[in-house]
Amino acid sequence: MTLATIRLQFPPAQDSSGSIQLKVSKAGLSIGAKRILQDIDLEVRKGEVLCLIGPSGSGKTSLLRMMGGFISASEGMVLAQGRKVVAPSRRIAFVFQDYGRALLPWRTVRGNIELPLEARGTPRAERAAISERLLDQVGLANTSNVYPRQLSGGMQQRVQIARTLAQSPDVLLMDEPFGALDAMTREALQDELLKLAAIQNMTIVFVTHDLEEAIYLGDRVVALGANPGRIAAVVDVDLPRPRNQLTTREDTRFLALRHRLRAFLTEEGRK
Amino acid sequence: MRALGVVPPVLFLVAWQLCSWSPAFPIQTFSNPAEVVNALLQSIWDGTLLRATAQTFQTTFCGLGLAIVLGVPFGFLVGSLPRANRAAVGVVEILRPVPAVAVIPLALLMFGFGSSMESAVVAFAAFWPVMVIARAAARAVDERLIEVARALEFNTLERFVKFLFPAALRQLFVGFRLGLGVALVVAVTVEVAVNPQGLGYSMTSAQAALRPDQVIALLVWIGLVGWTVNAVVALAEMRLFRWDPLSGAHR
Repeated sequence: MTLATIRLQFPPAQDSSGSIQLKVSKAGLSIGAKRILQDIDLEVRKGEVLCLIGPSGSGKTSLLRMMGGFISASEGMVLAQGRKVVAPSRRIAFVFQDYGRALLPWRTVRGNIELPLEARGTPRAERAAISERLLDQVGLANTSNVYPRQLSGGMQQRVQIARTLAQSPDVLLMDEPFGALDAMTREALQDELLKLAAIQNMTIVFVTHDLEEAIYLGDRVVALGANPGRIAAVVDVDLPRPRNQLTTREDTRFLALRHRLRAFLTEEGRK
Repeated sequence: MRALGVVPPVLFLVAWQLCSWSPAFPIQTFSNPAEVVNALLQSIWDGTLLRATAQTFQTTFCGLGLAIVLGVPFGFLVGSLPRANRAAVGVVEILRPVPAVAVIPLALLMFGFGSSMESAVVAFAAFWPVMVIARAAARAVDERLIEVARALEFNTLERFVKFLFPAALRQLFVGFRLGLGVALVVAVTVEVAVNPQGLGYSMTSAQAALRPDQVIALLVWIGLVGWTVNAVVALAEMRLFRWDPLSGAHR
């Protein structure tokens, strides 16, 4: 069963409560005496790409990890489809920035991608076909039997993305996934991600420190303020899709958003 | 470069043989290369050498196997649970410095002469390097991998089998190799000291019979055997860790 067919069985719900995949409700996070996050209220809608951006120390990665169930909120809660998130779940996939540490180096590319299938109990006979198709989708056909360390950084991150797709998650949480890659590779991966997101109507929360990346990818950009981290602004991105590395970035609306958010972030960073 | 390594031993053998023809040479202690080779071939031919080697190997690997079976889980336990480590550290630090030969009398009381006693002493000696390295390996497992395991909702057993153990195996192998070296040394030591079997006992018998050629032949044989075992382990390591671009580079 492909990811696309899974989506087709569940057409987007009409009522607003059903279309909320993740809801962060009055959440706060303290580590010892230090407040990391405060009063976070956020809803992630089905099928949207939500980008989280903020100066360092604004707790954007902490917020993402809270959504993923890796850390629990000190106050308030995170709800996934109405149920409280208390631990990581296969329904919510997490793409780590450091692909080199997140892939199992002793498993081949295929072995890594089959990991969620093993977790889910997919029959052995079906696994190979699924991993082949996913590899094809992320542009890595014919690398099944290669070990991750034999691949470039961009290719390793593609493997990690394919692995999370094998989870067929409801939500994809991505923590600065392209931050460590060179500019050309980053742009290529941005476009591939958008293409996959469009085909499969994926719900994505994308953390980045790169303002232009946030606007380019997002349907909405959430800007966090620092010390303690809190939501400072939520901006709708009304740029047409499919987006294009040249025309989208030259669009006056893109530039206007960039100006607005840039001014805002500079001010927040100064606080 | 390989050929260069052959030069010193050949020179040494030639010098030794030449010296042994001098009347001043203590032939009763050092024999000469020709006699040593003769003694070696003789003991291979009559089967005594291979039988003794089999005995020593049996106790070496039984003891090492026991050390691994006990040492790896124990090391993992204290390596991944700080509280378990605090509870165990007192006993470990008192027992670890005890020389393996010092437990021979107790092992004799428990098992009498024979393979069981020797294996027990070998296991005691090899347990420590295996356990200490397993502990360090468990501590060194990347937390990111554990998070991946959590994200995919693997249970404790699956986390151990699919994540912890393979992640630690590269390092565990270092412990196995150290343990193997210790095991072989201790097995031969126990045989030289008390146990009437194996290569160690063959050497004490040859010494008692005033046969320096046999004593030296056995020394050479133990060296060759040790080298072979190491080569086999190194080969296994290379096959096992093909995924690691560093493997093989250091030798």
